[in-house]
Amino acid sequence: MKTFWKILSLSLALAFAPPLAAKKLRVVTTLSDFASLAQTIGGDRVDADSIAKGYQDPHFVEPKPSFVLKLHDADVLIVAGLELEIGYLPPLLDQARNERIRPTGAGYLDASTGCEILEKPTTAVTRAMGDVHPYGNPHYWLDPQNGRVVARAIAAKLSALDPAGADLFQKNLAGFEARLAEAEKRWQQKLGGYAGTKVVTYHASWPNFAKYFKLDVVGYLEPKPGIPPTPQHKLEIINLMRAQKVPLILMEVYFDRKDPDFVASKTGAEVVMMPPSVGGEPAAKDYISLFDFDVDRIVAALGKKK
Amino acid sequence: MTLRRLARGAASLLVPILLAAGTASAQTAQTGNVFNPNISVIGNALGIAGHNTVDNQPSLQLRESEIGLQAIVDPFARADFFVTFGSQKGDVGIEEGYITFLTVPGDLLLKVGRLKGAFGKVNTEHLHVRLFADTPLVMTNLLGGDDGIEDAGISVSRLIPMPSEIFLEATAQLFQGTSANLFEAHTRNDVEPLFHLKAYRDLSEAANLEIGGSWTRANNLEGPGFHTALTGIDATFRWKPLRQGLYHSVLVRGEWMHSERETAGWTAVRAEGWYLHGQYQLGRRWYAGFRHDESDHAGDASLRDRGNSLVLTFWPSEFSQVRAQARRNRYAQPEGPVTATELLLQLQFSIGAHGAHPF
Repeated sequence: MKTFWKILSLSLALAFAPPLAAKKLRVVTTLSDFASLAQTIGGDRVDADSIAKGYQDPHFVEPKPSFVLKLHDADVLIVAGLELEIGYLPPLLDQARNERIRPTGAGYLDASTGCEILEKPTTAVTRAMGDVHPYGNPHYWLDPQNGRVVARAIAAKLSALDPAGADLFQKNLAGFEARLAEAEKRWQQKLGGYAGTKVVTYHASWPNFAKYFKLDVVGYLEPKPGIPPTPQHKLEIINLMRAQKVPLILMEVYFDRKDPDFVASKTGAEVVMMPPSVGGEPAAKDYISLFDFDVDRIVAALGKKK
Repeated sequence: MTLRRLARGAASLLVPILLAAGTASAQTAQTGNVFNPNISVIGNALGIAGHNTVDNQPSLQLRESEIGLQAIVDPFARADFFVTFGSQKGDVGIEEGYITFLTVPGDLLLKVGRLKGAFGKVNTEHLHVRLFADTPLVMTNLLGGDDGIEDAGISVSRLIPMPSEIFLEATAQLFQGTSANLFEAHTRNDVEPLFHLKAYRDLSEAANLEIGGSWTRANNLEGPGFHTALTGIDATFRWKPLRQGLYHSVLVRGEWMHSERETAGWTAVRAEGWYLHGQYQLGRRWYAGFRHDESDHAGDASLRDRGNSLVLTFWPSEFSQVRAQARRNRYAQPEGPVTATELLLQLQFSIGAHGAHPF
């Protein structure tokens, strides 16, 4: 019986003892891109995890109870904002019972703050326009310059919550920015010669990407955001692509290839399957390699057209 | 000073004052709107063809119009009101209207107001969220009808820590004890306790399983002192591959309910029923489903209704849906069974900002 009490008291002591190593900050993000940035900057002081996977449509994420558990334990929540997550995040946050990461909490970070947001509606929006975002296009992370802004915001947020790690976060941020600057030169070398290339994209996911890489988006396979291609609209796009000699159709990995392949077969264009987020393809394993992957795919497709 | 000059002087004084007043009121109006709740309206139009002598609904009806008003109250709570209008004039009610306290210590979530009872799955869903155009027989027979358990009360739910990423939530609710065609409170002591336990786990990235158990007991319509105890078990399997999740998914759900109703003469009627519903997503906007229904009558367990339904749903956009449901129900009646074959056509549409629904 004595042994029993000894074991019990020992295990209780262990259970309630302060952890030996400093506790890691638990960062949950909606998009895998922010998780990648947070892990890069936070290093081993942070555990970052995303709700949406890179190969999943970020508009349509199911609010599964397993995400409630993730959010319940989170110290930091990084969201894309601009109502991209409106379909699933509010009920998850309401159930998470975690004040730290509510929009008024210290651990909440809206990554769109300070970023260049395109396609902000200048006229009144109605749903006759399809699934439009009234605060502008939320796919802004696909511009490396915005990636830099987000990375700095993450470093500031992590430093505020874990002051002891501030030096490390600054060092990691500087390292990231240096690698990004290197990568930008690489991407310019590869894609710079194709500036002005006309493209059609499936959904309006690429305005920031196109602006940065000087691609000219002349149309979308979706007749309106969120509405799948109709026969009539496919015909219009085929005519437009023929008239303007558009060589590429850029599509997100989570859409069906059938319609893009059909339009490509009628126009001679190449379909480029592009992950819009980290992890969308195994090779796009972090924020910088995502752009490497997408740039290489475009260059390869344009190479075929020559 | 001539009269004309005086008038001009007065006008020049007046114009800026009027302009300033205009701007001020515009600003007040705008900042006032910022705190207005999100408003949404959902229309649910239903047409029925075929012959049904037991559940004889009109050929065409705007079955329900739901107005949602949702906003943050203060740093501690949010409020959600859903006002519903039925197909008849004057048929108005608060389907749900509650405040949710989000920052209660102890991993609790507290709701106060008028709520849908956390009994199983279909009872918790608003009409427009259902994956079929009608109400399963077990709900009609054992939970009192379309609306089920819906009452004024308090709800407390708590997350229970579990190993291996199992989500476990226990909910305890206390209602006044009055639900249409089911419960009736005669005194303040006739309150209705309701308990629900929900377990959920991801089986893989694409598949997950949810299992729930529910129990409640309250005074029934027989009169003071007569009770009905309800027990329910629900299970839902979902599959939705993330990469092609826009195009294909599966949902299989079953609910079993048991009712023990005390009747005059102090004999208890033990009735049970269940439904099994499966839905497959055929394409981005198309869903096909099947539902089998079975349920005893709550007041006479020797009478058991059965039914089968085929459902096809098309979503023109996220904000509207068209549904066709072919239904064949075999109602057990004291004078003999009655078979009803019907076609239900439903059109649902939503305007405004309707908050996302929990899983």
